[in-house]
Amino acid sequence: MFFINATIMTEKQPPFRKLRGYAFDPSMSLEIDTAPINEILYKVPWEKSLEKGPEGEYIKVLDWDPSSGAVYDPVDLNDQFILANDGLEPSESNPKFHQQMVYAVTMNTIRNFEKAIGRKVQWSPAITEKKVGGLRKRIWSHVPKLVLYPHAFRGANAYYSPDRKAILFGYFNATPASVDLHMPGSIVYSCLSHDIIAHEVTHAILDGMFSRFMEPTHPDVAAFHEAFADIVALFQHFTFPDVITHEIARIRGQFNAENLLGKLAVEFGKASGSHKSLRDGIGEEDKKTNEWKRKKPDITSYRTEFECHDRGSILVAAVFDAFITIYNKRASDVIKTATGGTGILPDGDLNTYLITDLANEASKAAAHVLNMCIRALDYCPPMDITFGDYLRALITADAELVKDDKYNYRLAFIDAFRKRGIYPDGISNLSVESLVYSGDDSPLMDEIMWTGDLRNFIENFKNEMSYEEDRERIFNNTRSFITGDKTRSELKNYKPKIGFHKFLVDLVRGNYKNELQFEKRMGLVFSDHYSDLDILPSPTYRSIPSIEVHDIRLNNRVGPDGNIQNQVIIMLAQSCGVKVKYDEKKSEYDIKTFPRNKSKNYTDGSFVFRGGCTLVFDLNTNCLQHVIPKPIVDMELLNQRKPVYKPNRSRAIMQYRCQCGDYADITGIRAMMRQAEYLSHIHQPKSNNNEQY
Amino acid sequence: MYHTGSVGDCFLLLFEKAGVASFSMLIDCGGYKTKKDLISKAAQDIKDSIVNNTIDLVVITHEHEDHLSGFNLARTIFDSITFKQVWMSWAENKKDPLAIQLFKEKGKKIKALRKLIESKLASVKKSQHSDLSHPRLKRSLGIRRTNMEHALEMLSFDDETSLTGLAATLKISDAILYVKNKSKVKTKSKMYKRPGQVIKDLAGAEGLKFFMLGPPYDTDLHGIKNDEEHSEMYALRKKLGLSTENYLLNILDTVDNRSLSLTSPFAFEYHMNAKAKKEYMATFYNKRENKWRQIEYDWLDSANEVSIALTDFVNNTSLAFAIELPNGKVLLFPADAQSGNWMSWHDNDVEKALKNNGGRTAGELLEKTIFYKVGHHGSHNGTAKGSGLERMKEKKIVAFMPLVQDKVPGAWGGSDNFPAQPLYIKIIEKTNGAVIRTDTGLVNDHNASDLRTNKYSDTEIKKMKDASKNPLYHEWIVSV
Repeated sequence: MFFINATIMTEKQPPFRKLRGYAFDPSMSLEIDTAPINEILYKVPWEKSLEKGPEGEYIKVLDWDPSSGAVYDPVDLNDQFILANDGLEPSESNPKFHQQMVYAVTMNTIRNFEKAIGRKVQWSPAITEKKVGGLRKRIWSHVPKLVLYPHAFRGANAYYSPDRKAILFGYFNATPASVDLHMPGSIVYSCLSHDIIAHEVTHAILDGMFSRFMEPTHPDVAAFHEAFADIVALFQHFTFPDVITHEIARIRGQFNAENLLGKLAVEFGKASGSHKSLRDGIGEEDKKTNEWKRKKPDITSYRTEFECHDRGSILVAAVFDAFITIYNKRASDVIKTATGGTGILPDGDLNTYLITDLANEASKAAAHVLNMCIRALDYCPPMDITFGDYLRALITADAELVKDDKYNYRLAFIDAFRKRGIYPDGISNLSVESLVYSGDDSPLMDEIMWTGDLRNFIENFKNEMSYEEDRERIFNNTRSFITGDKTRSELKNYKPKIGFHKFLVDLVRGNYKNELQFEKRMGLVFSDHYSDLDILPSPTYRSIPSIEVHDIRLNNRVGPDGNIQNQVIIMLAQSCGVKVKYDEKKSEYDIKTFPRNKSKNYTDGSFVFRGGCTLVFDLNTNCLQHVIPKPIVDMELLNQRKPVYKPNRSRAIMQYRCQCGDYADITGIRAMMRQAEYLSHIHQPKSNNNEQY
Repeated sequence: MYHTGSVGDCFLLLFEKAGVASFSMLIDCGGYKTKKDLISKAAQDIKDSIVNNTIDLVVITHEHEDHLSGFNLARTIFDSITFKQVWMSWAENKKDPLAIQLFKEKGKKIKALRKLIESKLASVKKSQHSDLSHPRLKRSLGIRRTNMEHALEMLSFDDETSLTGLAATLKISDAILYVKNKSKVKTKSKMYKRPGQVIKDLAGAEGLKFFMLGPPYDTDLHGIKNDEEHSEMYALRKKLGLSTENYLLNILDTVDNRSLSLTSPFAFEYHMNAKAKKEYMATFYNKRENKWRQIEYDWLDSANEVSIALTDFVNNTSLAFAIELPNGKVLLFPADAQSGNWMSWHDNDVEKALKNNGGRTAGELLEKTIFYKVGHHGSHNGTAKGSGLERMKEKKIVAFMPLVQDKVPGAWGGSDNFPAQPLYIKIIEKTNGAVIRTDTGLVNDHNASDLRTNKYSDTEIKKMKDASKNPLYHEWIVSV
């Protein structure tokens, strides 16, 4: 989001910098049908101190090509000739244009996120280890800029490297399946594909919000990462007005025909030996006729597809399906008006007014869906996300912001997920009411919320963060709210901040002495029973369980009805060591806990097991509005009359199966964990074993 | 099938007429990084099994350590054995223009890749030792280092510069030279075989027909370069990461030897000059506090894949052949042939030549196969599907798989990939459980024993079990 700087200027800063670029990728400029719409103007927020590179507040484009041993001259987007021309002209042979393209798409994606979540995008922090007095201490530090390497390696791939907070784009010589699809031997640059850039940047943004989503604890986690990145890239197609008008005209307003809007990375797919785009959100090729057809939802696929991209495409298809339902509903009014109520379109091309109206409806619906998808992130558990959790998050986020669901958005989503057999755990039916995460309105919580301390803490946080624009200060202030801050004690009137960590423990253990109630709500261990699970004691406060405060965020949004959301979101986590053994004869799992050692890498059925929860505090109504738990403890045993503390059995088994057991190969997780880069994992085709049998 | 102490091929075929030994044949003798004493036991047993210390025919399938190291390590024993005749593929003929082209291309690429990896490995090691306070980066550097080391191991397996063990001074090419020189028949046309040739009426082996199936002799080397044709495979190799090997492989010959870098796709005017580059990189990339964000090694993440692809070239130069017995049944020895080699057996001209010279096409030979030496130790692309296993129609086929699973080197993809499970299951199904492996003997996994009980009589099963009575070798007797 762009915020006008308060300093007085003689001339007003322009709100946008216009940059030319490809809407899809260079291959589309070579086809008569798509050439006119492929070159578009990206309007990215004007950055005052944009340097050569380009290098701005969020990103640094660094064009070092290690395989060629070359650095390509960085583009200066403030050069007057370049400014006057809306940036450099699209060109495959000019690396400066490549830099511009990467910058434009990345900033565009960041802007879409900031619009939806209502706060600044942060990259995941750098974690370093230092030895302090014989103890290893981990330090979290702010990463101001993501580094983008447009020509990082030779290969048909591009990936976000969480270790280096960088995106590496590859380039390669095309080896198409047939010569009419792509010129063999010509060079394909992944950094010129809108979809690939948007996809990778989304990985980076997601990692900034949920660093634990890199841990493959469930087949859905890696699939979610892929799916979400695809969703953002896909729905950004709908933000390009010329593209959407063109495609809506071509498909006559009906998404049952093959179209570019639902496809990802066409050039990349064709150049690397496939007949089609890398992925298609809505359709697929018929294996026999090679003709495009709309994908039919398959109720079993969620139970049979495990490879992370295949599985992710189920989620993408569900979201796209929901979008089409919403669009059809919106479009039917427009079509009825245009056809005198019959709803039957005349043959031939549609008239331009109708196309414009339909395109408007499509882009509106797409913007809403994209916003919903991004906003839902605030209501996700801090780790181990499943598609079912995400559905609940979608519905919770939307029900809260948009009270009146007149276009039935929520039903469209529920229906699309249901058709694919995706059901959240632990709810009795698929109604909106049961999907929305409940909060805690018990008298105890009520008392806590009104008695000052917690409310003060949350309000302090809100006041301090509300108007803060500097990303580094936002990061450091948030850290100080988490860990406490005694550093500025020399300041007059400065009260040392108590970190939320200490605050929470005092609250739960000290003042209210009702640990069990909190444990039952959040699925974490606050009482002395933490040693039952071998959860380590807090290194700072000793003799109380260690709890990690992942993040505290401010959620400040305005809904379509003008209602203002005023929430503070806190994410907590806890961990212990778990060792699982599988007895094949009895087909039984045996689960044991052990105190984990942070600097050790475990193998052989042992792993770090995490639980956590996301708390959403509402400042308007002054209550704990939602609790989104991922329990570390076994809730069934905890809820007994005499509670027993054991690690959450079903989650521990699932993590074991994914990382060491029967799912490790079919999900690709075993291979992923052996790779230098987690996200460099390309789509692995299934063995074609059964094709002929 | 001898146990040579490691993964490797060593087959001794002894033919008898009316109870009298008439003809002996040795196909390869090697083990990957095996020990002298282990493989010498096998060589000694070969010597003890033949008549007059003479082998009638020695076949060298291709230039790899796991097929040939015995001729270096157990040389003292082989010195006392006479090789009447030696066969190898046309690719070993150093005068053959196609062979020259093939090895020149390969040699250049291997050299380039070695140099690249060696220089990067040195700096990976250095980075590993310098103070890296980023715990996750330590992990990825470690993986990259192993990957590069595997690649080098793979390349030296293929390159002629080194051979481990006691015969370190001897190269694989020395083994070939040694065998060539030992051959009593020196005529080139009799030594180097091309597909389509059929050899009949060898002295002592009257009634046997030897059909030469591969390696393909086509001018564009297309068949040899085709190591993985997906439609011909039951399993895909479990690869790590990037699918970049082909791209890197294609451009390896553009490596500049001085700067150890590839040719940039961009015009020179866009490049920073050396001085500007140094200054620009010093402002961020090369700063000490930013070292953790460098991307120096990513482009070599596919090095191991590339080196495997390079060695697959050589596997595809395997002399693949079939022996037709007087009763029409067939013994099949494809060595380490991979997709392209298998497929070429059915090419029009090969098919025609086989039919003309021996009266059988490759397809007909496959149909009658009763003994199958499993290709390339049971790897994912060592047994073709439509061009191979599916065409075998005999009811009782025995498969010998030269595999010692726990000796499969990490550089080959490790024991995870050998045998390739989906293929392994198919072979067990095809043979109804009659699969004999070097390491385990008669196999018992994947319901092999159930299959056997259903299809074979007790005496037949006993014969299979007896095949591995001796720990040194597995033995199979076919009576005609």
